Amino acid sequence: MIKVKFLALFTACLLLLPGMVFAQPKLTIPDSIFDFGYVPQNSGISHVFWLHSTGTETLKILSVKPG
Amino acid sequence: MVINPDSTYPIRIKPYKFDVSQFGEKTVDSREFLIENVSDSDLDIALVDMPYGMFTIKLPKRVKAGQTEKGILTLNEKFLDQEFEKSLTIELNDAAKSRFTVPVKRTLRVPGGNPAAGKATVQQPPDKSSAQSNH
Repeated sequence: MIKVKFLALFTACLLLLPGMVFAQPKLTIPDSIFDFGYVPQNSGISHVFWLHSTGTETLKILSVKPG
Repeated sequence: MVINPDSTYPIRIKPYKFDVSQFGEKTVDSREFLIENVSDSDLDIALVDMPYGMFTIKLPKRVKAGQTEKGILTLNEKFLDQEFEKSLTIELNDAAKSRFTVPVKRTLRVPGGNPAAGKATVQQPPDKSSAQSNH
């Protein structure tokens, strides 16, 4: 009986371990480039980029560097 | 960057910036504009980007060669008490799939305006006593 319990626990660990070890944040940006085309000089323009967290761990954005 | 936006091709957008600023109590919530097709082919126009829910735009779907069509941009009521600087982008169906981005700007100068709107109040002239104190 103890052996069966141990085996069940061991199997559960085996199944959960990869998820725990390989859980990683992942960032997906569907449209990472936007073409504004013609833009009048000295104008404020804007575009919204969507950032999707598609990993298995919380994605933390630590810094942003403008290009 | 386009130094002289009047020289754009294959369309000219007039005005090249949409200013929906309000200077006074009369509500300014829309801006008409013209799109002139300066090419020799008919052009289809499609909206590809604009801030979600901020305004609505009526665009001509097609502008025939050499013709000018009218459009209108209308601000959403929720944004009437806000200042902003955004833009919208349109795309043509010419060979180059040309895109044009038009800045859309709103400045508010309303007498006795809502202080919560930040800069949305008329600036008072400097106090006379403080202006004379330097002399």
